[in-house]
Amino acid sequence: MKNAGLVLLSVLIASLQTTWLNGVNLFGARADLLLAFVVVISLKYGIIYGGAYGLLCGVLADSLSFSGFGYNSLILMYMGICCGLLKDRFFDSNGGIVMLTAFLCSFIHKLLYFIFSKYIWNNQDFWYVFFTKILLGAIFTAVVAILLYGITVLYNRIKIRKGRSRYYGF
Amino acid sequence: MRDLFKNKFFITLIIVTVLFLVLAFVYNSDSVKAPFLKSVIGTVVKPVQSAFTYTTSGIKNFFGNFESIDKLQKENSELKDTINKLNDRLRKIEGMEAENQRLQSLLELKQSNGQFKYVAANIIYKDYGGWYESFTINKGADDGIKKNDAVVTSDGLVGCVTEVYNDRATVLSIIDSSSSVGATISRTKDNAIVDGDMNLKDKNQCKLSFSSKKSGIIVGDLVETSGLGDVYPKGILIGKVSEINDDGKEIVISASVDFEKIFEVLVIVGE
Repeated sequence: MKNAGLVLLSVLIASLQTTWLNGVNLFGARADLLLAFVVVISLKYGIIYGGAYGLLCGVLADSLSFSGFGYNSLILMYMGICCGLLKDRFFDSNGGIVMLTAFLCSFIHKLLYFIFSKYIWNNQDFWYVFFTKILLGAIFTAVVAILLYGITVLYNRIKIRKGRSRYYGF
Repeated sequence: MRDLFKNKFFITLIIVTVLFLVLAFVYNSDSVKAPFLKSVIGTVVKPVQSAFTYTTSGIKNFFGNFESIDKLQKENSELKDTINKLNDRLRKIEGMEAENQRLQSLLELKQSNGQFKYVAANIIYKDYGGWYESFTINKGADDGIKKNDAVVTSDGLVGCVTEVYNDRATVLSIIDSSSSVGATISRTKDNAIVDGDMNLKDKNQCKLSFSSKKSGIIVGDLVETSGLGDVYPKGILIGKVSEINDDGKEIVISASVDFEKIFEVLVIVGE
């Protein structure tokens, strides 16, 4: 049931990003909702979930993107695994870690993509794209990640409260 | 090291990585026109995206009503109801009027260029990553759309079809950095090339370049398709010259189509 809900949520987030939120940008920078979702899921549920949902969200991103197939699938899967590893081996997730990890993941994701697909082949102006799309985009993604994390924390609290009510017969 | 290869997670990871590298290699080669996996996933996600797109106006109206109610709460209850209803009607009429104007201008374009066959289409969603200025329309091979068909609006050239599925197609717009269009300056008849640029696309602009050095281009000159290259028919308006820098070496044109505000397009499917 949890998996079905998370898969549905991934599809909804991908659809939201390509429709309503597509026009929401500041200086051309957009938040990457799917990446933020992968970071939150990985830091909450660990390496296996991180890898699996990273791959799923990557395949969705590749399918809805004009760019070639494969880059998002692999990089989101590895980012999910790395974030899951952080959670499993080093520290429990909290707002600060979610924000920092989402920022770093988004920064690396966008930077690598730009270097491989645009900068080398099309000789684009590096610094303009670095400051607007990459850096600002990573900040937006970090902000979205903290919002998503806040929603999951709130959801869990409500769930626990409901569970207690049932247990005590309220 | 041996233990690592006994680890199921590690083995799965290697298999998935190799599989996706192979898929990336196969799908990104030019010989494959419409990747099967992209087609299947697109079909699954399309209804959700269509629902999001078509409910946008409903939600905007919904929040718009709240704004109106907040303002009208200060007035008496009778006027509040009346104004609310009138505002609601006005918003709907304005929306219909704008849509009517857009469709009217598309119809005029269709009638004035009778030599072309057009297919009208709506935009379903835009590119995921924000790196490309591309979007997907709700008509595909079933409606006669083919790869490299030109896409226009009443304002001018939008781009060309790059991927075709049965029920939808992907369009790459002219302001994308990977786009290149053969062009002619209307006034001087000089041939040029309009290239998309990463730094200019957010301003709805692109670059104009010439094969040899040209002079006499002035701000305000209209740029249209040259018809060279077999993708875009001749004489479609691309935009007008808005900036000339560095002694005419760098020319910027403003696209005639506002890419932030297109909802319907016409695909030229033949003559």
